[in-house]
Amino acid sequence: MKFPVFQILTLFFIILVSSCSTYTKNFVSEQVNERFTPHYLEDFSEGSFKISIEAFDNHFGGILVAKKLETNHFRFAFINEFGGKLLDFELIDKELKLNYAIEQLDRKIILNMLEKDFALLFSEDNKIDEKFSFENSILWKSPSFIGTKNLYYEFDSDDNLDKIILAKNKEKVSIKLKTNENNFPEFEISHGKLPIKIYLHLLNSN
Amino acid sequence: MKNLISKYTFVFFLILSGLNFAQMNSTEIKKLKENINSATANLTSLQSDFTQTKHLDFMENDVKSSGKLYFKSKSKIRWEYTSPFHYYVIFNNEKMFVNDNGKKKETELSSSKLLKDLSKIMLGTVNGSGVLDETKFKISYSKTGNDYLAKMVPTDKTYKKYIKQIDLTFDGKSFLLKKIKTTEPTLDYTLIEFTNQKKNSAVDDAKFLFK
Repeated sequence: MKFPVFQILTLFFIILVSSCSTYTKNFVSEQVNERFTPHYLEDFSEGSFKISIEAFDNHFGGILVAKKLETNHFRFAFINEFGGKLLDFELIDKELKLNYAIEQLDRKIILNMLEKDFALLFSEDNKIDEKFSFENSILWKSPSFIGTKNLYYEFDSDDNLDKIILAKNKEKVSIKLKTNENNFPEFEISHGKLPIKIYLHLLNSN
Repeated sequence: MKNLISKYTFVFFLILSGLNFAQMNSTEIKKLKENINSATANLTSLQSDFTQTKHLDFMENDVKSSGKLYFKSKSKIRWEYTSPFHYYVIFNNEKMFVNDNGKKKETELSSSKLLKDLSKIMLGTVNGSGVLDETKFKISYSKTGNDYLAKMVPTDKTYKKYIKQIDLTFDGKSFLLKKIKTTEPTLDYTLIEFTNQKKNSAVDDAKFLFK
């Protein structure tokens, strides 16, 4: 039997890249000094989204509203389908300021996760210090985005923003973007090995 | 002189507001409650369209949704949103069923006090008299145009945390619940308005199947 050496090597390489002992090892890099704001935030003032959370085999849903107050200052509220407010918080320079939470959601672990996830999505004028090329993808690195973790914007071959990743040695949070007819793409937020996924898609915007 | 003008202006507005919201005396309130009770006593089914407006003070635009409500005596309810996305909840046979865009979940009402309360509130929106709970709210009644308004301010500690006031508007002819406005302590509110209400018309049992 002929051993599929090439396939195994490819698989090995993919595993190596996706688990990334150092996230961008083996990529061709270039040092830069630029600023970057994701396209969907450029004209954004406010909007409402359908939010679905799949966590440990449970499903939660509702509506998320978001408003830009200033550059890197956003306010959010999570309401259930019947209009009940569950959560109201602001994100000021990546830090969460809680205005209101129902008891069940007023937990550090939940709020920390939301702080990280929303900082990845709603962050403008980010410093970019390095660009990497890998096969058909391009990665832009925003250094020390949260603590010592870097943020990576991944673009496909058509220069569309495809993924937003928070990583140090391994991916901590990964957000997949799916373009649609809106200016605002759909988002799928994954948390490494944790079985928690958050889906967001725009309902209305201004 | 200036004082006199402002006095008259005040009285003028008082009269105006009095025209819009006439406080009711105890006999009129008793009569209104009887009318609401008899309107729902012979209710075997109800279908209605509804629109829901969520107002958050920090947002410029309200969040709007709409859908249909189905009720069949004694306690079957289907509360269905068709816009901005498809979502429905059914209460039937002491169970609650949720279908969120294809994600389905069935729960026994006995498993949670919160769900029992939710089911009670849903039924209360059909059977208006059921929500006029004087043990947990201080209620004042007034006539507004052709309709009636019941303002409910919670006296119950738990309710006070979430609700500042609930305004219920009853239709002056059918005595069915026409509007519910729930104001939160932060002054954000949710307004639900019912239109196209059909009383005792045929409602297909399939509407209450968990699927």
